[in-house]
Amino acid sequence: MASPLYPELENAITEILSSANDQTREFRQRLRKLIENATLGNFTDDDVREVIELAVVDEEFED
Amino acid sequence: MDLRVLGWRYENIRGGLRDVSISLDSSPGRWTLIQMPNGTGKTTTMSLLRAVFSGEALTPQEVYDLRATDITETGLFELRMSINNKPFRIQLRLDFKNRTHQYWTARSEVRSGGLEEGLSLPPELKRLLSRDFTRLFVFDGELAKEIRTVGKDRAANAIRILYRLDQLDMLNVKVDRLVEEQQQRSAAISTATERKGVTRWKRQYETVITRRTALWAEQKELQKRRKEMESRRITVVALISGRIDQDEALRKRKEQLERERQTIDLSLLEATHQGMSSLRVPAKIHPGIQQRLVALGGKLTHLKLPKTISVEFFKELAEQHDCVCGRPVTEPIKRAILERAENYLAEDQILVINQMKAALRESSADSEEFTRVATQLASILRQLRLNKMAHDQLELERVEAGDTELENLRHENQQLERDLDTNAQKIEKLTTRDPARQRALSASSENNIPLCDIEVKRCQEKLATATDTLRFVLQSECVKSLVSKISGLAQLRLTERVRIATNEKLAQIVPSESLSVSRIAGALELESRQLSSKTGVSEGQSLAVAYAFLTSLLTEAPYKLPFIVDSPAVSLDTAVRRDVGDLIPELFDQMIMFVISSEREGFADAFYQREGVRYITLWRDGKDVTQARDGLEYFRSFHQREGAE
Repeated sequence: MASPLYPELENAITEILSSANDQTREFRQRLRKLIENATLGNFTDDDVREVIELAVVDEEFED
Repeated sequence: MDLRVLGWRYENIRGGLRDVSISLDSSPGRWTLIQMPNGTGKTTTMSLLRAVFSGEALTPQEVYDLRATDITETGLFELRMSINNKPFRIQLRLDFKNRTHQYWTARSEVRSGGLEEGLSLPPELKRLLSRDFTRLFVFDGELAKEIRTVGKDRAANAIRILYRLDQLDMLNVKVDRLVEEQQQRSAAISTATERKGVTRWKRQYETVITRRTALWAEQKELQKRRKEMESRRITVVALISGRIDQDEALRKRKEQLERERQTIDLSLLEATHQGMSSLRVPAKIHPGIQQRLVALGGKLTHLKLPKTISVEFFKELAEQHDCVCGRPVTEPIKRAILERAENYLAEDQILVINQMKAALRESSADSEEFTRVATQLASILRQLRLNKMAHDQLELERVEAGDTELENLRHENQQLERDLDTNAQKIEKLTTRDPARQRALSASSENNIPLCDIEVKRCQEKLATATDTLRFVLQSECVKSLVSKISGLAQLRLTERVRIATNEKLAQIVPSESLSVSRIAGALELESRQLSSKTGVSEGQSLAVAYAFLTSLLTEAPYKLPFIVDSPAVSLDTAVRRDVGDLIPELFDQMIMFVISSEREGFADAFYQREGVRYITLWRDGKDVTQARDGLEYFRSFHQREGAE
């Protein structure tokens, strides 16, 4: 099936994800796919949870 | 996704539509011109088409008003269409006696192929075809005004929905829900003491969320009230102007003042642009600033930052037991410091600093420029005040001559001005992000949305720590932030693409009007070459803008939708009609146009030379029953007195 992404969304994904260079390659690929599926309303809770758990974060925060 | 209308059928509907079928499934079918004199159910057909596309709930009165006669008990409107080449049939069944209605659907996916109750369109299409969105492609002139009226958010919303960006909002909602579920699960397995902490933070989090919802509602209410007041103010100003016009001498003076005002506005715009440009070059602001910049450049030169110091610093740091922040330098941290050391203050950064030094040393500009522009601006603003006072004087003269209605209008206008000021202050207190303004307005998380957002985040983090879900919360925030950035950037670019395409089409449709869309925010904001913003727009111009916008919006969207339009050219003059008639049809794969006989000239006749056009004429016969006939000859020669529907 052809990608449902149109150029503006495709470019926005590429641009924003490439600036998220603290994230892993797998996270970026999976988030791209999730967004692609989300535009068609086609995703499950597990899809979303798996992508969330791949995100790299710094757990320190200001008290 | 491709949606195509194949036809529709009426039974016992007002406008004499007792038993009429319109069939568009045989070729030619790309363009259909349906000639319906007033009174034969054109407006009714548009309403029914919108209803069956969106499945909107009709009120009992709306149902009752659709009856063909007082004794008719039931009625039907049936739309046939294809969605991705699969046939769908939607029925709107009307019970005039009980004033109720039901939707029924027949689709090929259902094994029996029979009718089932409800509107069963593919979910993706059902999401798209809201009542508001349907009005964009089942279009009438009324919407043309709305599209460019302040306060309607249809234009920007339409872009979001049509290009599926609203689905990304749904994705973020899903992320929030997963976090909530995770926290509930974690809280359930904590010890009693931990549960106490969780309960406390959960309560606090819920309180602050409730407060934020209330602040959002307050903001929405204030904005709604503001739009109402602005709209009323436009009316009041027009009424005041009308009262002045009743006195010939005053009218002439008013027109003279308006001409002067236009010149002042232009000068103001020019001086403001010039002032802004000057402000961007600090050296132009004041001789003192220029002197200090030159001095700073000199100091930087003397400082001479060594190029290798940063690398050496990192190497030394990696060998220490503890970092400067106090944390131990472990083996992985040591590796990270050494690997990343090169990233800090490398050769190119030194180059940038050197360029800064040179630029600062050589800062030279006309340091009096901004002062001159500021003086000029002050003078223009004085002229503006004098112009306004002279305008007020006209009104006062008319009031003194005994125009009490004008006096009342003036009072109302003054009250509106005061109310608008108060409203603006309230909105500012509620929404400002500027810390200085927040302090000045005594804003807190109780009454300021950005501060409340910070409080929400704080409570969320505390709750996350208490439930041991901090990591998951932070990860979800990261995902949401990226999704929002992507959605925002895509919308910005889509909006710009639609705006540029709209202006290209406008230049073709109304080349003489110098009219263009300057911004698509909630609504379309217009400008003309003469003025920075365009507020007075004729009905024909509105329609031209709406066509240019809608065709730009719909033609490249991921959905192929038909464009159904009522009286497409009635408010356009003949030359513009012809341009619209030439330009728009090429942009849609299916176009259905309801016209009256007066639109044949200039608009319908532009189609006569085209291949692939269907012509249908509907009229009421002697028994007050609407009949339909196919064919160009009948369409061209049809004449009937236009009555009121």
